[in-house]
Amino acid sequence: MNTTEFLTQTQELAIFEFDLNDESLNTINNVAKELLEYESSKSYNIQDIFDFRITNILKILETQNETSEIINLLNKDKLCTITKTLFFKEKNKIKALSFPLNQSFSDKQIQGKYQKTLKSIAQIQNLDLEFDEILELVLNHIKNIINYDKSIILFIDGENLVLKASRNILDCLNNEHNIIVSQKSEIFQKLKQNKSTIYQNIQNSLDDNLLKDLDLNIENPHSFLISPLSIGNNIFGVIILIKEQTDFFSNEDLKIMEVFTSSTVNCIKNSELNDLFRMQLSILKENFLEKTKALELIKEQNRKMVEADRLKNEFLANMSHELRTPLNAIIGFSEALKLKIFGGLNEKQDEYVGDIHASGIHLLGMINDLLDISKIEANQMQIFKKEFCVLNAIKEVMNVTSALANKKHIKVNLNVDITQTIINADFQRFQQVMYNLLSNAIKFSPDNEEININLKEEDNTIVFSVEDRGIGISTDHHKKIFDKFHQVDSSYTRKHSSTGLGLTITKELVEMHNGKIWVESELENGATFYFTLPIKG
Amino acid sequence: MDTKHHNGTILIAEDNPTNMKLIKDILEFEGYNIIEAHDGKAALNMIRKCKNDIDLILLDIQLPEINGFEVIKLLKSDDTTKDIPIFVVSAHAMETDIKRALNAGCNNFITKPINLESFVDKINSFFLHAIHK
Repeated sequence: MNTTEFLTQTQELAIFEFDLNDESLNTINNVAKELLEYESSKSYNIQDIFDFRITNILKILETQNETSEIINLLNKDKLCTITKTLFFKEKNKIKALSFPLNQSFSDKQIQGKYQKTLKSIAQIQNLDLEFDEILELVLNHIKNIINYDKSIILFIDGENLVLKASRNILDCLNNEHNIIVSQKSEIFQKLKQNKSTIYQNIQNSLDDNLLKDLDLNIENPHSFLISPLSIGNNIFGVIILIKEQTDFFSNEDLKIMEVFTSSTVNCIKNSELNDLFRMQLSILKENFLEKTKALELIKEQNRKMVEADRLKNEFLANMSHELRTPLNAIIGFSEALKLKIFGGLNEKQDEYVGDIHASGIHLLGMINDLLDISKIEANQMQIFKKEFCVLNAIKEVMNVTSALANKKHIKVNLNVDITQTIINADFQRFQQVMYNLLSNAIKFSPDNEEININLKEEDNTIVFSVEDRGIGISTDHHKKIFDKFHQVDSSYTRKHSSTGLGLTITKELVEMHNGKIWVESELENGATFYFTLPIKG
Repeated sequence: MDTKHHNGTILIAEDNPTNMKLIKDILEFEGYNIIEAHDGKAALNMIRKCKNDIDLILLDIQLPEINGFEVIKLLKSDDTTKDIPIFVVSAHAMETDIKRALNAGCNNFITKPINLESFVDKINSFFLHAIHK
């Protein structure tokens, strides 16, 4: 719509678009204000208004660079009508809806219709409604302006048109509570043209198809007004108005519907989208609540596990104490008998007493392991560092294990390649580590083999390694063997008895010294356990 | 000390030498003839070899090569060995283990650590009962 058209529209409703910029916005605001003032004063001269209108339009158009055209028109002595204009903003455009307010305007009825249209549009624009509310409002306003007998609003849903709102139509539905119009129908085809259409004298013509498409049972249908709902080229729905008996829609009605729909589509679409968003939001909220509940549950279970763990550790510590008490008797008395303090023993008795003592010591070792583990878990393990000679410490351990080694005819070699033999660490725990690794090596070594203990110096650390030629450890177990309770074979055929705690404690002790521990091994090919300790501690 | 005189040959399947020594010594003192087996495979081999001579099997569960449960199963599935009585002697004392052993077909389940006196009683009364059959 250009200026000329705008100015020469005498009897019709017109829509005029401006691009939104600050200048035009300002001008329009001013125009609206002044217009309001003029219109509120009861007496005015047509000529005055005419001049005023032209001036102001000129002002607006100046910002659009179309002034030259206006002047030419004026010279042609064209009569510019007085218009009632509604300005409203739509996305990045300003729309001006105008219709003539000419005093010589004949059809007061049409004028009334136009006024109502503008008013309705203004109302709808200003409300924030839910989707079905706005559709109902639209139908009500249209009824007020155009008057119809029945109305339907359909929206495109996938491949069909689907009923979204209606008035006075529910009794006429063949398909319960719904109208579904397929793509192949004539309505759909007409819709694609994006033009409003009137169908008159329905019963008598081929337009019978309309009723079939809509699957409606109407007694005396007469006139249909079909108005597409679209934003730009995107057609998303249609409003269908129906008049019965001998009533029919006029071109005026068509024009009004065009203006009405084009002015309210954005509101309608927004409302639909808002509803969709609201629904999705509530689904998200539900999901979120579910997840929150699940999280709470997990947190609760976690709390329980932590508590159970704490109780377990307390129990372990307590039990290890309780178990030691009778163990004291077993180990003590058997040792006293072995020492023959209170008299001699025959061979069998001596043998048995030795067995009792050894079993007692074994049991004590396991209880100590359990206690160590519970200390580690409760973060109560402590190390007491002092300076000592590693060679002496290791030789002592070799001594203790010599009986074990000799039984299997295993030779243990100590290979030293360091200059600095004094280290700052926990003496007892160091020996515990060495004992664990050495006794493991002996346990898993076949008879008549050799075990090497190697010491090397690297930076400020000593690298210790215990090397055996036993059954070896497969690569996927290299990390797991240091896990609590882990045993390479925990089945009923386990050959080497163990609690699975030794390496776990060893690892913890090494790491408490800021050292590292690892294994290099292949199945069937022996194993070398390495650990490092800083010299200075 | 004089050994007592009972008649019977017992096969003991036990991998821990101390445990083996304990039971063997006591039972030999009671006069029984003892055959030692140190793992499941050896136990099976020996039983199959001397099946007619073995009167009772004392079987540990925790055994290398083939475990005690498996041994019971294999013995029971062989007609020539299925009737040799088996006492399980094990430190595996969970109810599930006991049930499993009894379901597999063993005649008795003795948990370690053993009560020596009652253990000996059980063995003696078993043989007494067997003789009177």
